[in-house]
Amino acid sequence: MKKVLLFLSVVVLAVSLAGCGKKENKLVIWSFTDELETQGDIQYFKDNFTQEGQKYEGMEVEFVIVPTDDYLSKVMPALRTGDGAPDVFTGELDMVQNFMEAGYLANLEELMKADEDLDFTATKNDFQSYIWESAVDPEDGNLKALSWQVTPGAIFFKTDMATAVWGDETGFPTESDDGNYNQNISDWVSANKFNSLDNLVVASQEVKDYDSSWRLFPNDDAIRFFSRGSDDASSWLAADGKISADRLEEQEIYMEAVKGLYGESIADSLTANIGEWSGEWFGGIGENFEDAEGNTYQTMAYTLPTWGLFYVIAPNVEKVDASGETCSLPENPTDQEQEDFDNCDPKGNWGMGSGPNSYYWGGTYLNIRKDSEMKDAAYDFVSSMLFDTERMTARAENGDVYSRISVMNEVMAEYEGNPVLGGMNHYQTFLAEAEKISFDNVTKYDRQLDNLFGQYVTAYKKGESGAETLAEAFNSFYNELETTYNEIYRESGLPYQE
Amino acid sequence: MEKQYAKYGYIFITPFFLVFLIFSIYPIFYTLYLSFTDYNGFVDPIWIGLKNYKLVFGDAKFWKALTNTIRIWGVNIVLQLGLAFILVMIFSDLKYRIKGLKVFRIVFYLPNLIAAASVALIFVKLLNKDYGVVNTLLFRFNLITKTIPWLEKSMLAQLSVSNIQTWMWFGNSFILFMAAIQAVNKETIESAVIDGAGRLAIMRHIKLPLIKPILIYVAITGLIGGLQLFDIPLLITDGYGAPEGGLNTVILYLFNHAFKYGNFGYAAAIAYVLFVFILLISIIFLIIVNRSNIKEYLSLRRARKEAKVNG
Repeated sequence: MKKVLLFLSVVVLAVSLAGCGKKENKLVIWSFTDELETQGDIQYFKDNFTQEGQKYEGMEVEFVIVPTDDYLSKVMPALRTGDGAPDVFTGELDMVQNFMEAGYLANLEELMKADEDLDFTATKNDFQSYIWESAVDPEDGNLKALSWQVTPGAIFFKTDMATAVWGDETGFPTESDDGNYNQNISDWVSANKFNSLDNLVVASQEVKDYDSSWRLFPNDDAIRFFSRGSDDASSWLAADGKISADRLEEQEIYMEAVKGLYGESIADSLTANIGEWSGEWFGGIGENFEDAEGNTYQTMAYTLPTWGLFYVIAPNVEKVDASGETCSLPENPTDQEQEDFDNCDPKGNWGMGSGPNSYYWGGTYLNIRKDSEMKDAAYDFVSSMLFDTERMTARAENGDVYSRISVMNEVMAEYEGNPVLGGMNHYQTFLAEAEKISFDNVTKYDRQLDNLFGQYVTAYKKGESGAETLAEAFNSFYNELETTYNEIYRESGLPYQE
Repeated sequence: MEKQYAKYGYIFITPFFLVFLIFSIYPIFYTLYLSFTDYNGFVDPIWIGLKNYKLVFGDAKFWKALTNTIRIWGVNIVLQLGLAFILVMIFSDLKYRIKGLKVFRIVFYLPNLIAAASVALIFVKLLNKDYGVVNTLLFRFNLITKTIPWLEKSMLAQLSVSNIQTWMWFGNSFILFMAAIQAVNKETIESAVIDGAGRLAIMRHIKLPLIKPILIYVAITGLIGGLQLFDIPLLITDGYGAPEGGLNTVILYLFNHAFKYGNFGYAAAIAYVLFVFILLISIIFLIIVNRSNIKEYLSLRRARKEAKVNG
């Protein structure tokens, strides 16, 4: 009996070890979002490349979703050792920079040039330049990754509230029926109220002064994307690769703006002190929401990028019926009530403007692993998402903003305006924002430094010990920087440095 | 024949040791190695000697994290053991004869079964200063005139987390204590009652000494678990220890260094400093609770030595 057991365990061990080394005809794709699946990209590849008689007949396609928070810590070791590593994997821009620096990415530019069906120069010119430039490896000047989308951000706001507060000011657009009313208000607000950090604080005060239950922003997080304050702000790193004193000086304006907006209670605050993504935060997109004391508040503006319009704003806006009455859904609605509600139209009282600086939020890039044994199939998969013009045009019609200019031009030519934005063309504003984005200043430390510095901005706005003054806040940040990123720490020459 | 059989023994225990070696021993030594390096997770580790340890000892944020952890744990363990103890006294009292112990056991243990992520989410909703359920209720019943910043002031946030931990874990302690008490011979207690011993006297002189080993076990596992406090502080505020760094526990700080800032070397050094700290505290704790045994042993040894010298 024991011999049998011993034999069995040896067999099990041998089989499991053999499984590790087996090479399979399989394309492995990893992502931190489910987009590739929900948009049908995986299925498209399976249907058009792996069926009988097709280029990769019989090839298995494995798609793995790793939650965003764990993504880097899972994908990095896999790429490092090559064990179970994906052939194609996605990443946001700062991740791409890490992949690039570690030398894990295949040379996409070379693969594109070798593709006989692709006109390299024409394709390059067709991509939004910021998307292209952002993924060029500074080591060799070659393109290493690309994204099918652009994700510039805007400030979405309710035009009716804006009209109530600022309607009497010089130059504020008068109502027009030409379909440009929301666009005109957006332009005016962008130029007069949202154009600098200081003005955002002033505007917040004006909204609160107009009605004590109104607030411009739901919270002071809403201005975090404007921490640079202008489009020609400095990079986090100076030319010598150490932290930049100029950038830190520019951050002072942002810190003062956040402090200006903050108040411990909602009554003292220029915002509604609502946590981002909370129930009340979403509630504010519709009409109003109630605090613990039973007071009702309304917020005017939300800072969100392209995807925010479709997935956050549009599903939550106020809806009206044919007579202009607000539609509301009772609790436990009947089928008829639900149908009536679904038939209501968005009120169309939203505009979108640009803030003190352009910004982007999110954006998924496609990467091919340098040592992948399935490089041809990996390239064909990436190509089906990026270079198949017909497919991209068909998909762009869902409202998302894509990175290829020719595709967007075609979509925009037939576009009739967004009903949530009162007929405004959101593509135009987003693409104008995208063009302002520059990648000269991006470093792989951006996300981490924004987070790290952000903690001291929060401490400063609340007047916490160790951050009661600007000098204290900066020095506390320097102390942490020294332990966290010793390699970019600078011993002297920084603002307020002791 | 016997010798051959003996060999099988090694084969049967091999899987355990293999798993133990790969998943416990190797990471322990690899972490030690990493603590002497600068390693960001994707370029090869660079040997930097004791630099990480020097930085840890001079890092005010680390020491604050350690005091935060001890404060949160301290309040929690007193409340947790105290509450469990009071409930045990009530449920084990021969005179009260409370019925439905099984039901209560389940009810008390239930919070422990909820995933930490859900617990954190529930309490974020309950304790929000401006929009939370707790403050809303307090307002409705006119018990407060100003919102209470449960999770927005360092001290209050620490207390809140201590209480959440207590709520999650008192059922566990209760079950362990109850099992120990039920093992105490009822006749001993009955005879003590007949001899005129009061509830407190019985508790102090009979029940307590008999459940001491379990008490020590719960306290030590509570200490180790408490000093590794991580999930609730991570999920209940911004994940960086807000407010005022009050919820920044040692493991949270370690986690952020490793997985958010990509500073694996420094995180490994923090892990080792914490390890030594827990080891020291555990030794001190064991010495304190076993002081009478140790004293006895020492005096016995002295007596033996003296006997030898005299002999």
